[in-house]
Amino acid sequence: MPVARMLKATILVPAERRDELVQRLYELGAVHVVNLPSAMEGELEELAVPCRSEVRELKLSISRCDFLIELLERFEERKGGLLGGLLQGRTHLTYEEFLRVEKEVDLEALYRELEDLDIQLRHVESRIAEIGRSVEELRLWEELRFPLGELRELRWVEVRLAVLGAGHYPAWEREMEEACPYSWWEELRRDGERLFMVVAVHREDLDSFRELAQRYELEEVHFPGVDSTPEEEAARLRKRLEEEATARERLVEGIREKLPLKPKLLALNDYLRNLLLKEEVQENFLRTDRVVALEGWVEESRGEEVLLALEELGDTLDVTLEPPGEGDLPPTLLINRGGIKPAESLINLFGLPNPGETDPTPFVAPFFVLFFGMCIGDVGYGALIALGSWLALRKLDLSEAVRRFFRLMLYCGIASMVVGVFTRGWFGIEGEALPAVLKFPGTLDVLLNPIPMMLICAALGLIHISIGVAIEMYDNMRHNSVWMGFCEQGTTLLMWLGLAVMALGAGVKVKPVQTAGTWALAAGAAGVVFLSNISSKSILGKFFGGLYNLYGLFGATIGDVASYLRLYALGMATVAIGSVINRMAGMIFAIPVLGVVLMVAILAGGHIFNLLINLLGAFVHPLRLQYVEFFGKFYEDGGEPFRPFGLRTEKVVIDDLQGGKA
Amino acid sequence: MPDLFGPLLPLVVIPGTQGIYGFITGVVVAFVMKPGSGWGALPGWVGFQIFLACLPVAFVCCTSAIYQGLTSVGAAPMVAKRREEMGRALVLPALVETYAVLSLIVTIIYLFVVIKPLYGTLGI
Repeated sequence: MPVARMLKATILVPAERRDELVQRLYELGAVHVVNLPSAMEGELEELAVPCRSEVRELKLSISRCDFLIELLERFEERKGGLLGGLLQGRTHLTYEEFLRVEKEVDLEALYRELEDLDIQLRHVESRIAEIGRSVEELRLWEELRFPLGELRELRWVEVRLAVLGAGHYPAWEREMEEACPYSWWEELRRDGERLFMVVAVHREDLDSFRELAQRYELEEVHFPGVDSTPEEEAARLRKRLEEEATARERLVEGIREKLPLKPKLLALNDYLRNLLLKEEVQENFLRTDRVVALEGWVEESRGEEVLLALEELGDTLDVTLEPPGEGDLPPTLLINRGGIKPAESLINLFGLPNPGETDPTPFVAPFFVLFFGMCIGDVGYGALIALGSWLALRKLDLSEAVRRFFRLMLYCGIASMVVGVFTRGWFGIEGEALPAVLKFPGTLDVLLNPIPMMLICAALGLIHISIGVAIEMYDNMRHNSVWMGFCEQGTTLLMWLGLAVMALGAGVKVKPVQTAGTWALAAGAAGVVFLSNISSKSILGKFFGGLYNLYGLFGATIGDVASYLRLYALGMATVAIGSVINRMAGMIFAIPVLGVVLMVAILAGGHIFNLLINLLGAFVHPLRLQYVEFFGKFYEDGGEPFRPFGLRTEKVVIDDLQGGKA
Repeated sequence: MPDLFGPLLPLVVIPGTQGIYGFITGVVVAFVMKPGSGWGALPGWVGFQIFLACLPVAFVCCTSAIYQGLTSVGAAPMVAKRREEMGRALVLPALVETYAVLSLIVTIIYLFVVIKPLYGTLGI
């Protein structure tokens, strides 16, 4: 399916009606505005609409709003992580409430109040950290029973608090006894390799002491301003710490009191961002003294509506809607409905297709779901995935993007169950233990019988990449000619079709089918050699280029198809690990009494682990098959996403609005 | 950035899956090939073939896990800078895993298609 068709809109408006036009476009929410000054490559740069002073003020208000939200969130009690975020729910309001929010919140006053509390809080927290460090230091000297103030006033000796490496102590002690005969020291405590000492040095020996201190890397510790004993000082500081903690609690309480305002602040933030959007969109316009010009893209289906809405503004406005010209690159909008829509997120993840390309979503969706199912391949795990996704969709307040993801997971879960029925995957229970009713013909044990499953994977791979080539042929036929499409891609398809028919003929042992397949294969191969390089100018170029294409095609196809065997390996991994968990649980069960408990724990924990680890693989590997093997055949990304100018909300949900229209 | 723990976790987990492929091989050898149960009857050369069949997983997974780890390291800043790019960042290491998956498939084919049928002919 091609992407949405776009019309190019050119609008001219008298300068004094600029704001009116912006408001109308914003309400419509249908025009993707193009940056005209940059599209003109500088020559008309001086005609760009300059920023108005309101923008600076708006940006300041938004940053204040961000600050307040961040501050409130810091003291909000909420569950962390992805699950916590999902469970929390979002802020809902009506459009009328949204428009009123600027008047209801006095941002300036609230900012001043909370900023003041935040500054005080930071001061208190830095004091708490500082006092905490001092208490920690003093704790190391609590064995010293003398008031530090008195020790400083001794007449003949100086008392030092020193820390020495324990290994240095014997040598230092020996030398001290010789160099400072009138000194005295005592070990207070040992903390690992460090020795805490009090040293009283006769004033005459001070020089020798310093020299020794330097040599033995003795570290002196000072407590300036502390006159009491370390223990008393530590007790005093601990009391202060309690006071500061109370002060902190009071400040935090003050901030928490404002928490009920958070929903309003979130709405205000979105409201202000929309005002900013309305200002910033004008930087894309060109202006002269009298006229403002803008260019944009409108979805073809909404062209009429846009035209009518703008005509209501009066005949001083000039609007032209026309199909894109030769060099125009319209933005890309994927238009899929129903069950396929959730798979658009997989395309967005890779990058949108070029505007002229085919939207691959209808092909990506079923194959992704099927491949996911094959990677899990277990009814039990599939049921858990489907049930979890269904519950999330029913019970949680989710954004549209997250809803789509869970819907995709719901389909994937169901696919896993279906595949699981055929691969006999029931929570990894081994084939021998399964009841006969689950082993009906057509099902097979992937662990004991790998070849059929591998062949199915390879066949699916060939079908998948053939669809990729067919899409490229379709694009080629649309953009160039039907003949070109047949020569360049049709011959390849014919060859693979021949191969498939031949294999089928050999499989069911019907000679005419096999012969027909062989002929088709030969015709396809000849087509690739003689026609696939038809755009080359020389005859030799056509032939040898074609021959090289044939060689490359076989090499690449073998590689591509082998890559699809991963589906088998991942599906088997799920089953194999599941069966090991069951065996381990079975062995534990033999232990009397405790065995039952342990068995349940091993079964629950093991299967959840298995599910999670395989969920990751089941998501990433099918994605790789889409991005590398499938997209490699036809896809050209680089499309700019279609983002119409209109109401955008990030933090709140406006309940009475649909499709982003204001 | 503790906030990035969740998005970065899969990047760390992915290279670990190669360990799981080794584990699966071990389990298949122990429970399906059952060298212990018929040890008396299982000739040495069959055992040696089982050993050889395990080598693709042993060597390829060990090598590819290291390179996949390096790719994950390269992809991590992508997530750190733009959290929403997690999907793309995850696909990069998955490209390297192809070879680990292929080695597992080769080992499984050796075990089930080449060696296991011998059991029947040997009467094990």
